[in-house]
Amino acid sequence: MKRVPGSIGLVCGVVGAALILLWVGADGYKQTLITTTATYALIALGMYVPYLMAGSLSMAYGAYAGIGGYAVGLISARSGLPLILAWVAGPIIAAALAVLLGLATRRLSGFFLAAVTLLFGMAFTALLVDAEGLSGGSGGLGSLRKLNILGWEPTHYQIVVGSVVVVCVIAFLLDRLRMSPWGVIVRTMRDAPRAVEAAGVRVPVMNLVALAIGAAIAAVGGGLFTYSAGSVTPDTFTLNLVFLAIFMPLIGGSATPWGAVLGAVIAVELTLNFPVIQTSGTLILALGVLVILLLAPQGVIGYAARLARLVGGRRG
Amino acid sequence: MGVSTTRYRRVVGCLALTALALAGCGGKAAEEKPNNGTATGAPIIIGLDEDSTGPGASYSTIAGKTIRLAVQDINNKGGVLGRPLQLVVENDESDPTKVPAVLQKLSSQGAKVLLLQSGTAAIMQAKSTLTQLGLPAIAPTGVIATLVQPPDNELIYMLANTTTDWADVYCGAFKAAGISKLGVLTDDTTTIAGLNKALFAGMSCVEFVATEKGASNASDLSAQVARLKNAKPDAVLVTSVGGAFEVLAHNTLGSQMAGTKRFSLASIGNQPASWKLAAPGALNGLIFMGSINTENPRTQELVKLLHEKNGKDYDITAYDAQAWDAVHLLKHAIEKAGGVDDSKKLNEAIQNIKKYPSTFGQASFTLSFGADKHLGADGPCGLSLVEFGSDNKPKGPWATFQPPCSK
Amino acid sequence: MGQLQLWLSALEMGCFFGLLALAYYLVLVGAGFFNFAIGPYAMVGGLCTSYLVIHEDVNVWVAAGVAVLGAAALAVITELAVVRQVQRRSGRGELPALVAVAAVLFAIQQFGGYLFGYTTLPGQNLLTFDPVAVGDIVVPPSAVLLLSFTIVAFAAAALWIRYTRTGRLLRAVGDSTHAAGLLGLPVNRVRLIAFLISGLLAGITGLLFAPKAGVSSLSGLSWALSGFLAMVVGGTGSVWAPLVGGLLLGLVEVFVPYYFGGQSHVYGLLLVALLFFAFKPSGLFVRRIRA
Repeated sequence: MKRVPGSIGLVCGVVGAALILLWVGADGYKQTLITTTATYALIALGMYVPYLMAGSLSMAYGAYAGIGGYAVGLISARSGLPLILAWVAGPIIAAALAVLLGLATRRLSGFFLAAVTLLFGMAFTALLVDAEGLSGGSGGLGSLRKLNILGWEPTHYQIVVGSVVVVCVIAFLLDRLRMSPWGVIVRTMRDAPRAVEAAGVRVPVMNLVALAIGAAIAAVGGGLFTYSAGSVTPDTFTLNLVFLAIFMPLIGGSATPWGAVLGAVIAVELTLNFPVIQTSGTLILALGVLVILLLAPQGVIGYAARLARLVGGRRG
Repeated sequence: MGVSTTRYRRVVGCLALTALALAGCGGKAAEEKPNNGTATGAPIIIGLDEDSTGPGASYSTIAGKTIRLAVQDINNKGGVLGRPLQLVVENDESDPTKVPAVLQKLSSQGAKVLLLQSGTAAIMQAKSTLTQLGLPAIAPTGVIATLVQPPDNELIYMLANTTTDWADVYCGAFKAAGISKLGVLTDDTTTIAGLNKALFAGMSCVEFVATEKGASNASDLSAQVARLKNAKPDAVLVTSVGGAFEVLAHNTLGSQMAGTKRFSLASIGNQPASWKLAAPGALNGLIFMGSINTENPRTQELVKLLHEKNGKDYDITAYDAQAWDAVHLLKHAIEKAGGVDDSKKLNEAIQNIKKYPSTFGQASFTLSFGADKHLGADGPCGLSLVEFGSDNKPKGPWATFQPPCSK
Repeated sequence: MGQLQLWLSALEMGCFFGLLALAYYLVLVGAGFFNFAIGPYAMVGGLCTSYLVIHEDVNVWVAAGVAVLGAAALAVITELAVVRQVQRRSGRGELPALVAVAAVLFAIQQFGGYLFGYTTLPGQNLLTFDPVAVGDIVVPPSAVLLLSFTIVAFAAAALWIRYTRTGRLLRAVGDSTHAAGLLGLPVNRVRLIAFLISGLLAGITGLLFAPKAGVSSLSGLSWALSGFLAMVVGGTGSVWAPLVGGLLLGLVEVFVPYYFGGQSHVYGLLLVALLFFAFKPSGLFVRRIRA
């Protein structure tokens, strides 16, 4: 039997998703937890591409998610187009912006890139406030239309299921991408850019492609949150969220995109669903990250894999 | 080397640290929680979304404390419909992406009505979730008019006068003081951007000669103040969410533009902790939009209670009074609706509250709500221009102008 | 008038950014690592002092001592319990250590808020003397102290790195940790000293700067970013590079809003960073590799 690459991750992911959906049921709170988790997971997956695969840390993901969110808000409020187009337009605009920003910062890497993209994210928030005519200013956009796909209006639960499916599909595709020739080149590029360049690959172009894919995925997440929450403001996607998205893949395990998804589940669990009243979610999450980094540097998935190997008899 | 020992020790250390943190925080929360007092029966659950650790914590917790005090006081006096009020509290850290889940969580814990005590961006985000949940909510200390305007405003209420009334009061004041050219120093938060828009739209009585903006976490505003000075305004209005920015603005204005009359919004008067940040005498002569009037008998009663609970040096603020009134408005509405199980009926009961005598504003000031009136304040009597003295504390009503108020 | 006041402000901000950048520089040179927790160390230095003086009636010098030692202790703990362990476990990659230090940053901020409250506290003056008049402006004591400390700190750092054995070791270890280890140099001890000194430095800096605009538990993040920017603008070519970077940043922060107004400080900072990195991607002063 021929094994499809990435199938193990997919099977685990789908089983996990199915269990989560069963657990959620009709409970409104749990449904919201899932849409929030899916949003975080998509932003973390978006960051995964350039950050863990190509090794460039872009912090402008608040802006990309914001573009996705504003695409939903604007198409709903200012046009008669089907709302589903927002998930086409938003990611394309975000990807285009990521390419532009990538061109402007093509000589930067590591911490320098992080600093400039961070400033970009802050300037983008300022712009959303200033560009009153387009963005609705500080009040943001609300009162969204319901999604209507060829006459079918999905219920809230169907949206929840849909967002879980989208996350699984994107994680699976990224996993495949990671193992594809392109993914191998991008990952080699991180470790030995000169060698890749010498082999005839245009490293800057590859980097831009990675950034564009990442931004597009984050925009899908931003759109999802805006739709399920019902509104978007310039402050919706904060710097805090960007830091959360950096933490997530490390928590879950950075070896596969599924780690980012698992990380999002754990992050939401720790910050929102933790039974200690009123404690700072940020504090719990920060301590959780430290514990995981110290005890299980490969993340939860890496730890589980090692455990599985130990149980299944030691090999190498 | 003893890798396993060091690892073991590290694990224990980490866990101990975590446990310590949780124990500490948990203990603190438990101590503040109101009990059932003399009320019996099934508790009526009120959800409180309070930013207790994020950027809004410095002001949210002032009102949060008084909300707990009000709930305890009501329970001690027999509760609502003989049933005790019970608070369930969640913390959104003023992060809009956490708000939907936090509100849903409060609802899943049985809350039938909510109090929103968090950053403005978070409350803006909350509006659409309220509509989804169908639960009414009060934002006790909100002052941004857009919070209770469409979209999604069917279920959200505020108490105090908003910027629309403020514009009239400022205009009256500027006319009385002969001010025609105004300079503005503002922070860069979205909250204030929205407030400025609404406020300045109603202030055609003055010419804006300069509007300068600084970062809300700025450590230096001398450039902005220098620009203001070049514009030669008759007076300067500082609009900010308060805290360090506001005080830094007055420190800088006080030293570089001494002699120019200064005005501010309400926040500086509501944050006694930030008065201590000011340089000696820096707030002297500053006029802010206050709403505490010590001649209001209900205010006097609340002051007495607050002094009993928080010590004699406690400075009452509008946040305390508004938090107090918000809980009592809920009590009123729940009694009218005969319970909390029917959210629609409860929402209508809130809208049927008319002429509720408030704990802030002048003695005759009242709050009324309606289907189209989500903002409680009846007229500008809830406002009072208050002047700071040379000891950096409010010294009393400004002699030159006060909002007209029918007795 | 006016201008002189602005120059003073720019100088004050510049010195503050420069000192934070120097704290970054020491850890970067000694451990090859950007320690973002510098901002929170400075926050602890300022906030803990204010808290002890205001709420516990402690003498200001005692409070300052406790706070600065606290900041230094946090720095040492960061190295021993977090950075060293994470780097040992996850190899050379900088990403896990970066994430770990970001987690430390948030943890310290939240613990700071829990211990000292979430409100902004006024900074405490170590010395009170009459403001110094320069031209038509007056320089407050806090500014005098901050400026003097900047000169002392940078001179001391320069002398330390050039003339002491530990100082020279610092650069040797930073240049090639692996080689230094093979040569039997005390790599761990040198790294620890770098963290310790940067913690002390950050703590004192936060304490001296706090009187300007107060300090709150959430100041740490923005201070960390400002210091980091100053560090990358200056480069690592010389001990004085962080000061140059800090002063440049101070000038931008004060004069861009002065000439352009509005939200220009946000857009201006981005534009300056973009232009700057396009032409000088590794800072103003680049270290020549010594033979």
